[in-house]
Amino acid sequence: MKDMAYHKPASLAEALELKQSLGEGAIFLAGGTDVMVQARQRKIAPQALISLRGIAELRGARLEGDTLLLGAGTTLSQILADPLIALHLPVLTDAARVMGSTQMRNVATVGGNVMSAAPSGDTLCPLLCLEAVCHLASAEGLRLVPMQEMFLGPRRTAAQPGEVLTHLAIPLPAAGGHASAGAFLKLSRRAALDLALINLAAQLWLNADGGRIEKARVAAGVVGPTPLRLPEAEEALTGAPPTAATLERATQSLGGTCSIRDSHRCAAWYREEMLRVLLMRAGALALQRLGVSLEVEA
Amino acid sequence: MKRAIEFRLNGQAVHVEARGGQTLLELLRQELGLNGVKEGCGAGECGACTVIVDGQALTSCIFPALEVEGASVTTIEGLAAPDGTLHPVQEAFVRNGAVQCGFCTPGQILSAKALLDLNPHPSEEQIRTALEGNLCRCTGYQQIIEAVKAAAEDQP
Amino acid sequence: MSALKYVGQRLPKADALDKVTGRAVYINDLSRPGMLHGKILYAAHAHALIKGIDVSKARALPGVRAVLTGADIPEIPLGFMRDNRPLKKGKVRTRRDEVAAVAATSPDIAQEAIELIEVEYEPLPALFSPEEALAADAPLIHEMDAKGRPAKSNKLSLPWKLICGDVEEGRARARHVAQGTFSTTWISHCCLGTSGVIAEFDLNRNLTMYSITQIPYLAQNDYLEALKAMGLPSSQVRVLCQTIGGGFGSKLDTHCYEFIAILLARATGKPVKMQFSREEEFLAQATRQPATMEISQGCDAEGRLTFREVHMLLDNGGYTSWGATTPSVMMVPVSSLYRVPNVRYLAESVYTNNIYAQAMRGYGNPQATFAIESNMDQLALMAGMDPVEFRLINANQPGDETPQGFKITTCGLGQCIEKVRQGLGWREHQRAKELGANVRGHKARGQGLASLIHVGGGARVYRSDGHGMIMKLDDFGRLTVFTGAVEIGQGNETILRQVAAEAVGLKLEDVGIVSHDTAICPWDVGTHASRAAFISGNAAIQCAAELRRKIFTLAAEQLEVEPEDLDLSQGLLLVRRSSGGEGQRLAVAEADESLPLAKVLRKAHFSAGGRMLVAETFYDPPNQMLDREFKGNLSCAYAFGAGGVEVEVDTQTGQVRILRYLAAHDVGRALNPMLLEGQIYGGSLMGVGMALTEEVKLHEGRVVNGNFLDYKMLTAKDAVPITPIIVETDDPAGPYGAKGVGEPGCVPSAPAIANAIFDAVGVRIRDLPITPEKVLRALQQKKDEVCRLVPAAC
Ligand SMILES: Cc1cc2nc3c(=O)[nH]c(=O)nc-3n(C[C@H](O)[C@H](O)[C@H](O)COP(=O)(O)OP(=O)(O)OC[C@H]3O[C@@H](n4cnc5c(N)ncnc54)[C@H](O)[C@@H]3O)c2cc1C
Ligand code: FES
Ligand code: FES
Repeated sequence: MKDMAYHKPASLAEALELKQSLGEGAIFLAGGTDVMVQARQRKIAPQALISLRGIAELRGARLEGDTLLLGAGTTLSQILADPLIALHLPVLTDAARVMGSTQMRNVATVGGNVMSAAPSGDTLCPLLCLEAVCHLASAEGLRLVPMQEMFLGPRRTAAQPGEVLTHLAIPLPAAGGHASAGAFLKLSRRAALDLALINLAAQLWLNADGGRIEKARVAAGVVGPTPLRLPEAEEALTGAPPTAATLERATQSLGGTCSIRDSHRCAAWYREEMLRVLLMRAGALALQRLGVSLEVEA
Repeated sequence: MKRAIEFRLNGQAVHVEARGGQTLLELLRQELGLNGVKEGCGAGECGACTVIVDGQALTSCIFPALEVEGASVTTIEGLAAPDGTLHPVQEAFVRNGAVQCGFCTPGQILSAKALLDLNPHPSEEQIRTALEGNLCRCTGYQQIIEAVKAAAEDQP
Repeated sequence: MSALKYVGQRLPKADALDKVTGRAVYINDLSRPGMLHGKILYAAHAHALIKGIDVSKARALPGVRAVLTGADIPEIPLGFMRDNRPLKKGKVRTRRDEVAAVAATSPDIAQEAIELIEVEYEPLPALFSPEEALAADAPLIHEMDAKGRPAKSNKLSLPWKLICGDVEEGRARARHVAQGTFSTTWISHCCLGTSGVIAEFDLNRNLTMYSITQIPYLAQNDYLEALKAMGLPSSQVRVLCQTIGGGFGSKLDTHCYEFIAILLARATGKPVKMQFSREEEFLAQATRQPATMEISQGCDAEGRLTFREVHMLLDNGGYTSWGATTPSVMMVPVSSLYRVPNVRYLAESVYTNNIYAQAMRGYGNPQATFAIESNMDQLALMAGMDPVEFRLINANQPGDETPQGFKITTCGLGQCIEKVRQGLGWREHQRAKELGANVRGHKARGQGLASLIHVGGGARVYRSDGHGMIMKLDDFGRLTVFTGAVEIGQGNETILRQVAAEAVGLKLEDVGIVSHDTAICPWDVGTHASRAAFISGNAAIQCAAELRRKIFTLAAEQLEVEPEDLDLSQGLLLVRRSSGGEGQRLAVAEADESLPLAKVLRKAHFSAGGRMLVAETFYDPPNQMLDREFKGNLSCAYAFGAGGVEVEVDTQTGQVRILRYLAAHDVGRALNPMLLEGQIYGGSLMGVGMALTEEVKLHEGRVVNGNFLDYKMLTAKDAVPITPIIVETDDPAGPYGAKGVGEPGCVPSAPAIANAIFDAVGVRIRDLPITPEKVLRALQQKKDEVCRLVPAAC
């Protein structure tokens, strides 16, 4: 790898200042599991790296009222070990568990996953369903961008070059008083060390008596240039009873939003079929977590 | 750009100069002569280069060298005692036939050690998870998994 | 005979200590003083004329010591058909063609120089399948054939044809005939240690190769040929093998990069190292031979096979390595797996502009067995027979001579099948299936079985199948064994130590092995064909007998007894003063006297006219090279086995999960059960990978998944529970009864899995790997078919 300057600021302010003075050629590095690989493959050729690993305020999760503030520098292993996240956001834990390998999860961060904006990024669909808000800090101040507006294309986000993702603000799903649970499923060729052929997250809210789905959020990855919310499915689920038939109907609604393509990794027709299977199964798993058990196995 | 850094390597303090674009793997192999750290892919995809940094197994081929400033790093060279007495995980690998060509072995052992340090009595599933990033072409993993179980059983 | 001390023990590997401590030195770890680093420029097209190469910018780069192209080097023909050159001249035929090479003071500079080389190409129409390459108007990939005559087509002049008995008669006699077309694809060896070499000339122009070859002596020949072509006819070559980070057949040929290292070392006068990256390993390390296989088999009313006919079309890629010769081993199962009286086998290899193939564990056998054993299940179904019973009826038996001329000495095939049947709970499963109890929701369970035959007592694929060995004793009764065999991780040196200690009568710790050096160790044909333990074990027994003869002669003089009254056990000489039990080995308790061997040796060494003991032997097994009709007794013993699996198929996703895997192997005798199990586990999982996930994907001749994230070798999370079942048949030809077992593990996996999938959901996947897409598509087609035939059912 080419030689490059390396900076490890101890605070966010220092990081932003560095970025401003170093300009275009400098890039942020969190876990580096993406940056280092890209640099080695010479897909990027940074002149300087600004490591965010020394900035304590970017790490860890804490509750602030009804919002969980997840530091962008939190590693996937930390997410897996966090009881708050396990309790409130199992959909995110599901995703972290099946990412890369133990070694990769020990260093890779959720912020890095968001900012690298790969169509297969495994935390992205859960964060979309959770309606997370990205806190982007720059020399100019803080900007809040909802997850749904973050992804512009493969590896392109709405963040400006000088901005650091500091936190993901995640409203606790159950905060509005409705029981809620989510689930994430990933289809890949291997049980580990693999990118998603397709992945899908669903977060469901039930009404007071549990007889209806009050609200639904569904998002899928590798079904288009960015991870996508699937409004047809959400609509089909909303207001319907939490049954297998409802899920079935939701799978039939799919289609319009996605632009699934053939690749050497997987044929498009198969992804299309699997989108339906994953929706059915993730929906069933989410409902199971809400105490509604359907005759649908994962 | 070179920078002098200090960290603990296998229990000893080291001062060394590292470059901005350098990986920990390069630093360990090229500057520090620790050839037990293997490169199987250079892209985080095989685990041959696994080392333990502050208790966590990671792939040194995609980890920036300068990040170990102030950290404690363990490589395979740091496991056996100076008189050659093996670490229990090493011992278990030898006894259980977990070694064939041996290229993946240092990485496997370090992943296993990092697991057992945190979780002395793991389930088989947890062992497989700890080793999932360490590819092995020779063994089919079975004897490696058995070795880790045996090492765990020998723990207090 | 006293009980065996070491043979049969679960002893840890001799080299494990160095490997668990990180001390083992692989080629990746080695450097030489003053060493330069070489890099290769590969072709930018799959088929193109090279119109010009401009290396001026590369030469001008500081740190660059040499830049070579095809124009700068002498003619060094490489490859089985001598159709390859280290650096290509005039034309490239694959995306992995070596076009230019650089030696520089660092790998980075060498890489930078490579990128400064400008090549002007004129692209030619490229051919990416044998069918395209056989079209009448297809351009020629090689203009000349092996004999230097103008080529007429892209077909290799390598007609593999085996005819045994009368297939037409067998077909006429058959009550049932099943046929099918099957295919396998490119598979990478995926050795965790990437390839590399250091070539170094001394001032006498003798060459040392720091190498990772599995064939040091044949490689030495190839290097000597190259030196001759380079105008160095009197140079010597020494091959020093380093610790090898995985073999599996990938190091049975000499490769272009090795000759490039030699050429660069010669050009610069410095040691030159070539070290592959993983990307390069996927691009430029030849693969397993892909095959398209048409098979038909027939059986009579009782289920006895009456004939087998197999036609294969092989995509040879742009050049020949050993892949082109895999039909020679594909013939083994084609002619001899089960008793089949009439056999016809034809295989054709065709040049294409794809990557080319070499040897890989099983050498064509896994491919052929996939077709045969899948088709056996098809035939059993047609005959209305239970697939296991069907196999038992046809199983080979000891004493058989197969149509190809293989003399089956010991054969545990029937036992292996039986044990797998029991282990699987086959009958219970079949009953459960009748009741539909194997299906729950969208998960269906199925069981499948496949057998194997492989060479187990060497294989005479070269003029000699021999192995040289020297045994040397020192003053302390310690033995050094010098062997030509190569340790590739399988544990050969450990086995050899066990056998040598046993056969000579020493303690294990008093036996050391010296290997991996052609200047010191005697000749061996190579670590291939599962032969190392068999051949070097027999060599050790033969050499030990010679050494014992010398020891006893010496000691008899000193002790004033007859040599027949002496024995050696655990380093102790046992002496019988009273006569009796002639020629019988002594037990310590029966001896009248015992003394350390060392004492006798020292006395001999330090007396006037001193003597020290060395024995040497060359063991060449009594097997035969196949004749012009490809017949003969290729091996002294044949290994058999059966693999059984239980799978669960997800009918919504097409995913296949292996719940259980039983691997029964007739190994003759388990010399070291722990290492043996290691071969079975490793081989079986490699077979599972071949069956389910592994394929090198090519797009217009270019590897598109050349990394470990996209090439799906299985992980510890995917690893299936494998139960080894060891069947011992005590082969008279083997060392202590052992037969070879290095390769067989991976042979039956794919057909066993394919058969289990069929058993579970009634679809037969004929093309490897069995991806979820293929399973799901087949399930949908089956459903469509049912709906077409019985609309009411849908
Ligand atoms: C072997 C392997 C397996 C993998 N498996 C998976 C997988 O299963 N699923 C998956 O989704 N991904 C996978 N990845 C991809 C990658 O590891 C993940 O995307 C990871 O989450 C990236 O996090 P990181 O902290 O390492 O990011 P980095 O590499 O540090 O950064 C990634 C990008 O984000 C930017 N960035 C990082 N943090 C910030 C921040 N706080 N503010 C602004 N910009 C920032 C960087 O500048 C860079 O452009 C894998 C990678 C490897 C090497
Ligand atoms: S060498 Fe680092 S993961 Fe393969
Ligand atoms: S022992 Fe060879 S790769 Fe694991």
